[in-house]
Amino acid sequence: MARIQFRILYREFLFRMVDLDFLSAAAQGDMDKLFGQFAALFIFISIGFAWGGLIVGGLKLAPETQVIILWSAEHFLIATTMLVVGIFAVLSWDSTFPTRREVMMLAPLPIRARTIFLAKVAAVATAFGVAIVTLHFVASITWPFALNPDTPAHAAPVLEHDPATPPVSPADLAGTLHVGALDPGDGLAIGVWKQGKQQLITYGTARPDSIFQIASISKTFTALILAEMVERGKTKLDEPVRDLLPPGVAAKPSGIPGLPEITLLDLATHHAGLPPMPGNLHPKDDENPLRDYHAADLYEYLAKRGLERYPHVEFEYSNLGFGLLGHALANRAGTTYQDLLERDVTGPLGLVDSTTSLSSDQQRRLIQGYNQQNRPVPPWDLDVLAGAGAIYSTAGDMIAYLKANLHPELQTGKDLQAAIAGTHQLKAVADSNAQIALAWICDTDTGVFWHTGAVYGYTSYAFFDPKHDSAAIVLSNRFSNITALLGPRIQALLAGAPAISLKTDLIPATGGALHLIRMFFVYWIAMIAAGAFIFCCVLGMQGLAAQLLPRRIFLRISSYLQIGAFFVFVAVYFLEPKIASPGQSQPYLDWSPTYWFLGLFQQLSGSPALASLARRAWIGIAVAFSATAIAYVLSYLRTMRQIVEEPDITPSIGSRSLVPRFGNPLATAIGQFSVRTLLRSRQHRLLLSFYLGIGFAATIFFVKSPVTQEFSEVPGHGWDLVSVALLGSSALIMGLCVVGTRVVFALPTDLRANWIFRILPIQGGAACFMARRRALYAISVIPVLAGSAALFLSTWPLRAAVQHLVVLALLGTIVAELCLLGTQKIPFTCSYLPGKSNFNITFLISVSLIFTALAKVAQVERNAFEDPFSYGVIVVVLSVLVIAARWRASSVARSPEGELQFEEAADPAIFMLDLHRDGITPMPRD
Amino acid sequence: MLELRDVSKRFTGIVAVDHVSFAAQTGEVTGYLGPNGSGKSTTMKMITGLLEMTSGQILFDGIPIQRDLIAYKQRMGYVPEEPNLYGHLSGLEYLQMVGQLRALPAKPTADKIDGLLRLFSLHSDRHGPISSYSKGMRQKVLLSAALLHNPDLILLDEPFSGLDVGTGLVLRSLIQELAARGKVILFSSHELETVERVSSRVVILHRGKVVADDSIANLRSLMNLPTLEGIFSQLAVEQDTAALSREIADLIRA
Repeated sequence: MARIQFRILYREFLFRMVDLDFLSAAAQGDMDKLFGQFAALFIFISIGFAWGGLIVGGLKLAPETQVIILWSAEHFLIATTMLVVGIFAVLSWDSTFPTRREVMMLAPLPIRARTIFLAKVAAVATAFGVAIVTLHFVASITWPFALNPDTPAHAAPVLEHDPATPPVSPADLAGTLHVGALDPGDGLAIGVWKQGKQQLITYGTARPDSIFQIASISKTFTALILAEMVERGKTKLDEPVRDLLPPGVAAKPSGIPGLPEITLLDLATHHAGLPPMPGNLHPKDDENPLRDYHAADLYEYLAKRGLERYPHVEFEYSNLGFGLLGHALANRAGTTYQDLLERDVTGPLGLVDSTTSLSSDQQRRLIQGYNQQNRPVPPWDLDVLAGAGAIYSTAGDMIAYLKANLHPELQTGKDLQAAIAGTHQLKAVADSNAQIALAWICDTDTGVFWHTGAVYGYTSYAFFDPKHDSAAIVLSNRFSNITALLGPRIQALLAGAPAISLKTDLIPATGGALHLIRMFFVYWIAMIAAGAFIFCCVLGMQGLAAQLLPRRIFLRISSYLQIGAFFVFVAVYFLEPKIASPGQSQPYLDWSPTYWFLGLFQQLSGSPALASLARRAWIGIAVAFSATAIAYVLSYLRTMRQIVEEPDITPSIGSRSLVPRFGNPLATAIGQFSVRTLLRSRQHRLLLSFYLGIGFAATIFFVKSPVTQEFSEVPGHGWDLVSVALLGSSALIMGLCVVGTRVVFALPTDLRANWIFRILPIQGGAACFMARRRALYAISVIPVLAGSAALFLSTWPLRAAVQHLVVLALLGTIVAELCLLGTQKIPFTCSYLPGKSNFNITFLISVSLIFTALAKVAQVERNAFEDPFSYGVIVVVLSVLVIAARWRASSVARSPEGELQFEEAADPAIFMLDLHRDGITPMPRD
Repeated sequence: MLELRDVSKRFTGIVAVDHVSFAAQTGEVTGYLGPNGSGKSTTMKMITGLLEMTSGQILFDGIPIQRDLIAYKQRMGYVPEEPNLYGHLSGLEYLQMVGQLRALPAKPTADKIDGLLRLFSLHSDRHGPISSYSKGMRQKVLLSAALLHNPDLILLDEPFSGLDVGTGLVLRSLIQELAARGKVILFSSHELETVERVSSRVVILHRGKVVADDSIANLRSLMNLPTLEGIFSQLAVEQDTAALSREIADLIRA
């Protein structure tokens, strides 16, 4: 008998896993349909995964790049699996442990508690299994192929961190550089300076006085020349570059009125919109491509292109721009770039070996450069574009230069001091984590200024860290990523932070049928393990909270835990940094479960990489499984008794009403009813959280997307800046909150109880409309406005804050009034037609597509803050729209269509006769 | 006076209420009886305005209720058969909401709610969510909500359902007291003994039609039967109840 009971209970529990009302009213009473919908959704995601597998499988990349692309893809699959399974666990929150209703219903029947629990556990496990299989069913066909390219064994940097150690020691670097890192002929010169102590370390063929081409680090010298000439009054940062060129090189822009010209500041911050290299560059010598590019070629290019600065130009790294800047400055000074360099920078700073033109002695000390294929190559001759990268230097000179940048006050000459400081003033955004001063790029998080350089035979990395009074230069005579790896490591070590390890792992060869079969199993095991981990985390947290907390307290906080888990999943998924390069400093990897399972993936596929993360994955699985097992055992031993002993009357909701009045009695009744329903109904709270979660994710995307960066002419992303990102995202949150609230209003709380509204003397029309309007405003527009006011009034200048709050209020009002159009219903009382949620998903997708438009509108708004007339026009236009929307909404409410509705569709006769099942509300169906 | 004139309700092809006419007089308690599926609840829903009739007229004090449904609803109190209430509200909040929706003056209504909660012994649980109330407690909330605005017409559908004996006795007297104070009371129940004690007049419905409409005393003498139960069985119960019960007992034993 127990087996039959188990089977029946198992089936019932399984089909009731997910909160039915929440997902779909259409599927109510039709479990197969609901499961079908779920499976269809997951298979749809799986097809998307599979498509990605085809794309990645088609890429032909070098092994070093490939390993990062494949790791990123594996991480994406793991993180997305964990997000989907996590949300699935959140949705099935109330079905994973025996509920009060189940216990009260089953307890009087002759069923053993053990049978109930086993059926529950089996149902939960099956639901998880079905979810994970449908999610990866299609994807597991393409990904093993994509993850199994024909690649020989190769070394890849380990993504591990060494603990913070004392300042760089030769032994520290030598120990790692010896392991095959240097090829014959390679030379490496490292100069380190920290708080008065200086050391020079050289490896291989490099000597302390070896001369390297520093390539693009030359741009910081060009920027310093510019700053000096500004200090001396020879030019200005906002002077058009055209004025510094010979007359007639480029005509004054006249095509589009009001279009500005490229200034020296635009060139010095890579914001001129110029390409990396000139379009008319046709190298005769591929190893020395700029050798034959002269002033005449540059002028020809400029005559054709013109010197307009197009609107909304974002950071675009340009050698052409800096070359042009160096040439223009030399023109203004009436000399050559080399002379100017010597006069303004290398002379005053005493940098005897820093030059664009080597003497015979220096020529002798120039270390031979090697390209990626280990072939000797010459340094680059830059001629007219010298300002972009022509300078040679030594590690000693560069340390002196970086010291001067750390301590401009120690230099002789006020102009030089001011000029050096001037090159550190942040001028614009470079990317999401960096700003740009004059040539120097500044890391937003650490405040470190850095620049790299690379030509075919030389690479370099320079930084100075004002916070820790440290600096270093890494010079290499080989085109490789060694400087990009060593530079950040030395920087972290000098700052006393954990630094990326220099060790490498030997990634085994991939390809072949056997490895393909292995990858198939690895794929499934890793995805199941990642999904099971997150599923068990939710179950374990919920189950242990239920057992450790007094039952009443647990019941109260349960839904908050559920919403909290939902927000954590969404936030982590969107905020978690991605692997960009093997050398990137990523100490957070150790604390991110998604990366633990990336380690597990590597371990299972036979790679030694990320072994420490794999260890964490195994520990994580063990902990999560144990917590879940303990939670179920405790639940088996205690929950039944707890539930039966639970008193029938739950404690008071609250003796004092904190919900405010909403005006007249009708508005107050409907308003308070709406607020209380939203606050106390787990289902409605969860649905609103779902919308806000998606809104939150969309906002993060928006803030981080290039469309907002494009407009950020003021550097930085701080809360204190009136940025396009903050203007746009507050409007986005407002829109999503209002629409989300409107959707939640449409979902009834208890249709059987709405008879009270029907028999009471309430009619549609203006009074009822006013009540609905106030409820919507109170729950959506006003909280967002209050939150925005608290943020902006405390961080922004008063005027800008007030101006934006006015615009935000008007926007919120327009959206709210549009949401009020249509049938007049009391919130939470009207029956719900399925299919409406499709509209809302369409809306959310379209929101993501209007980012660019939103950013442009926010830009218009920000510009208008400075111009009272433009601002006035915006406010007037919005006010007219508000009046129109309010008039339209109110007139609909007053019209015959404004009668109160309680049914989306007329009741079928069968329901009118009360012939539906007892206790089940008739629900219209398709 | 509440008057139904030739009231019918048809759902596609099915006649639920068939030309029903009767009147409930002011100051009287009218019992409204009928077996399951006789059209009793459908009639009640039409009288409350929840459902529109197919034909006929319902008049209250001589005025068709549809003419000004809002004004009519202001004078009507209704206790439905099923105690469907918003479980997430507390008893107090529910009654406050009903008061506000009826636009009753705040202070006197608050006092009245407090008094009703005390008299119905709900005061100590007034802040608890209705979802945790027993059926009897919910019934008391429904009664309080129906009486809050001192209605002239009171429609009671199974008002004794779930009430304890003491409260049942109080309600019985209360119904008579309200009738004595000039209210129109239409009272539907399956508890024939209670109906007999409370009502001065009964209307019996069978298969959508009125099969009896008279005072209980007249029905007794007309049909020569001593109890209302006998009259009801004669008019509205078609089965041989003794044979049916024997059949059920036999089935269980098999």
